[in-house]
Amino acid sequence: MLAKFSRLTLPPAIVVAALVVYRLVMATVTPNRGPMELPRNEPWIVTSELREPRICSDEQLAQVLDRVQPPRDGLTTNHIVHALRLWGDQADFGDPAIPSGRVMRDYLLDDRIFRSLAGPESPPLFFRGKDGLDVRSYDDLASFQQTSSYHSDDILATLAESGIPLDATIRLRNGEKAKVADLLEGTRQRFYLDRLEYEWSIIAFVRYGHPLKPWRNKYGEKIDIAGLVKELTDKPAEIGPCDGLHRLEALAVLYRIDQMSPALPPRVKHRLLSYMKRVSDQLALSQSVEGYWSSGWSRTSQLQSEGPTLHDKLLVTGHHLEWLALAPEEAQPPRETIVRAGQWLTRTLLEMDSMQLHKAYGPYSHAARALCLWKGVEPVAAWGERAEVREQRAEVGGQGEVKLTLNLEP
Amino acid sequence: MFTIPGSQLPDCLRRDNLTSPYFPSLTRAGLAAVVTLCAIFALTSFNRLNHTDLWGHLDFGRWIVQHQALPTHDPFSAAPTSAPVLNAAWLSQVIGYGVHSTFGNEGLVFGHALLVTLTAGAVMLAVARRGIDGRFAVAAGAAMFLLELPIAGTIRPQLFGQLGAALVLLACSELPTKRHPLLWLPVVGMLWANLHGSILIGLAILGSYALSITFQVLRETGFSVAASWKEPRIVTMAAAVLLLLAGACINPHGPLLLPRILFFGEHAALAYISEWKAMAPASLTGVLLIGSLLVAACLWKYGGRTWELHDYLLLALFALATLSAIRMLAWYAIVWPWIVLPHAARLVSGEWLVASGRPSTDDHSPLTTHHSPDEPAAMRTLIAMGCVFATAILAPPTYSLVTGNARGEVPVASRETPVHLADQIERLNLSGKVAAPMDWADYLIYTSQGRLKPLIYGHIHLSRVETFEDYRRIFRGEETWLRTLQNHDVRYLLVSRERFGQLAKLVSAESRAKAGRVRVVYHDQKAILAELMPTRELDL
Repeated sequence: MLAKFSRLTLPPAIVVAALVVYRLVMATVTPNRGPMELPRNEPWIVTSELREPRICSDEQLAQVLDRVQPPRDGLTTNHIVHALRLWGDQADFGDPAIPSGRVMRDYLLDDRIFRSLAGPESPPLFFRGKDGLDVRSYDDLASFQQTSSYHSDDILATLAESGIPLDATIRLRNGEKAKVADLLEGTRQRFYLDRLEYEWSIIAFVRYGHPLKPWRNKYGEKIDIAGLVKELTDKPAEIGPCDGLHRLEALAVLYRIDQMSPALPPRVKHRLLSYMKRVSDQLALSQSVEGYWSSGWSRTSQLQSEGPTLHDKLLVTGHHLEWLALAPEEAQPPRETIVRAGQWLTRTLLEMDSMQLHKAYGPYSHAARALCLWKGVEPVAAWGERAEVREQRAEVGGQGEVKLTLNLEP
Repeated sequence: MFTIPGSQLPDCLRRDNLTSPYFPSLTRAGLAAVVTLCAIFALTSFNRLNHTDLWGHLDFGRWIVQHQALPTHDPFSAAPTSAPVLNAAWLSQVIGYGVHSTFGNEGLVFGHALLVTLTAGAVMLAVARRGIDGRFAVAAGAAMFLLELPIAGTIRPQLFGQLGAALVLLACSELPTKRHPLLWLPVVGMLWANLHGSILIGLAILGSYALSITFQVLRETGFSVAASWKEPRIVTMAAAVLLLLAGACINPHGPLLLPRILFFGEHAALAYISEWKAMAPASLTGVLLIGSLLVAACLWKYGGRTWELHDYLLLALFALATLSAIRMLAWYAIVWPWIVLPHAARLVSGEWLVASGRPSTDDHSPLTTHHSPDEPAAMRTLIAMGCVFATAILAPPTYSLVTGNARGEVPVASRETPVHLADQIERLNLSGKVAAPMDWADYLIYTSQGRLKPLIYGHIHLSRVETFEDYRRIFRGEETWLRTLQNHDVRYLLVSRERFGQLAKLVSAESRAKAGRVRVVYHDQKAILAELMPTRELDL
């Protein structure tokens, strides 16, 4: 009886025991699937290493910047995002009608400021979703779209670009507080490669998390840097927001951060560089005689869209000059290509109608930022210096007689 | 270099320290069976959860559990009809829902692999009980798995039916010499009739076998009915058929279930479902069917064993059924090895125990052979245990269950499953009528807890033909797509970019036009989710 019982039970018991031991062993060696361990609190800041003073004069740049101050009226979240990344959180325009850099930053981080600018009825920008801190996106509601996030994870990418650390506090509608790290973790959980827009997500991941360790999202998909780069480089060139140009920005940012802290496998790095170089070679071929590019930039100039609008030209040319300013020297087109594009951009930004400029503030802020990057100046400083000069001139012009009188009195 | 005969080896080398009355021993055939079953389990477990009617069945399972009743009419459709629901699979739906809510997706994958493995095991046993060498019984399980490859990846209540069919074949193998199947056949019939609407397959198998036995007895008695009807074999077979039938009648519909199953396939819309279509010779199903029939023909010619009437009947019945509808391959894959392997064994080994195909001894162990020495050894048991352990580690669902690390939705669900889309729907808490590809709709009903009501979903036999035609018009991207949707008061439209490119373009264009009729709520590289403005609002 005992022998029969033993024959029946011994083999399954041994197998089960072995599986239990296996589980215990695996539990000790398998990494925890908790939140991403981030190597640093501050995001990586990428500035241009290249200088090209011929694209515009200091005076022209100041005039351009003067025109791309944050809009006084009809402020949207998209305006804030673009203005903050152009001007930074230290900007002060000396005009109560124009939000300062600090106010723009707090618009994204503090719901009280958000409500004061977006209106008390506006739903909050951030909310606690089932996967952590979530952002109200453009398509979520048919109303209040102007105060929503316009592109997936554009707010997180802007915070990273503006140097906001992970431990910065986000104040929510109900007074509850969260951290930027919570937003990053929620994004990390929700991110998947089949998205239409992933450029800003990747920029945020890289700026906050480089070197990126592979992780599994809430759907169980493995996300790693090779997969992200593949997604960025495998699609047709112009697929994606702004004619695919934010993909190039993401590639340039990733490459430059990896130059500061090398971690990418050589194959991935080579892939990045060769893609950027291929695009810049193409840009040299497809540039118009006047110096701009338009949608269809990935084809030759003859095949580009016929009769592109001014908006189209500014959007594409501004974005191209911006990512090229961040890209390494090895990925650059001939410098003449940059100069021609920059001069066309400067000319156009100065000549265009102000109303038209503020209607499409986002794309034009990219153009202004591109000029600053190529000139190697901070927008606030470049604009501020000139503004001071202008103020002094105005002062001199308005009080000249008084001053003169005063000067003559002795 | 020299050799020593085995008998001259020292005791310490020859002694099997494992062999003991407290530890089981295993034959070679037994070890082969364990290894084959482990391989079948592991291979099946790599299949992903298909996105089609699996989730529809779980929808029904959840509805039954929540309402503690069986649905009489379609509870999920946006355009329900008065067509009564045939609750032939209610038990498997409840089991499936219970497994999923307790163990998640990994539990379903595990259940799938387990059912296929059990079916293969039952087929092995059924073939072995016909008295052939255990190695051929193992081959029968492998052959079954190979033949059902085109459909093996699909998890659905039919898997219970397949296990039922294998058990009925086991009964056929046993009944000539044993009576115990008479005890469990009614239980099989009852469970089968409540687990899947394929109980008629079981009755067809058992009926064919009973017919064959009857014919055999009649032939033996010179076709004298008077002399034959009291023959124990006929009585046994008649009792077996009646008991299976009686068991099958214990279901929510009673005996009426059987005629309703018979006419189930008459809904016009089913003609559009691939598995209900006739077999294409160039398909994998076609190649497997034709190849296996050629093997059968060769064995008929050269096998050297008499083909009984049930061999012809079952082979012809299930081959013709598979020709007419691909889905019948599931049953052919089970019946074919049971018919053919004894003939193959005869051809290969040249040994056949009993001319009639019935074993002559009482030793029916599937894992022992009568003529070739296959002494049990404890070491083989140890190897088999190692194999089971390795399978548990290699097979994804058991690995997940053992380590406690579930793989997540995407790696487990089939690629077409709209996981991200469903998550977005949940995030936005959408509800109401929806038009979605019907193979997505079941999943969306499940993930939205029934808040979304699709125009058409996997259970198309419950829908009106007109609704199905409207559904086709919409997804073909015909001019009237928007008007058709509005006629059905559909609130959300979900489009697969890959499969319905024309409609995807139309929806995007309509949304960009900002005419207030369509608004894209979400889109990714695979899908578009659009909200349709109600016509009443537009009129206002």
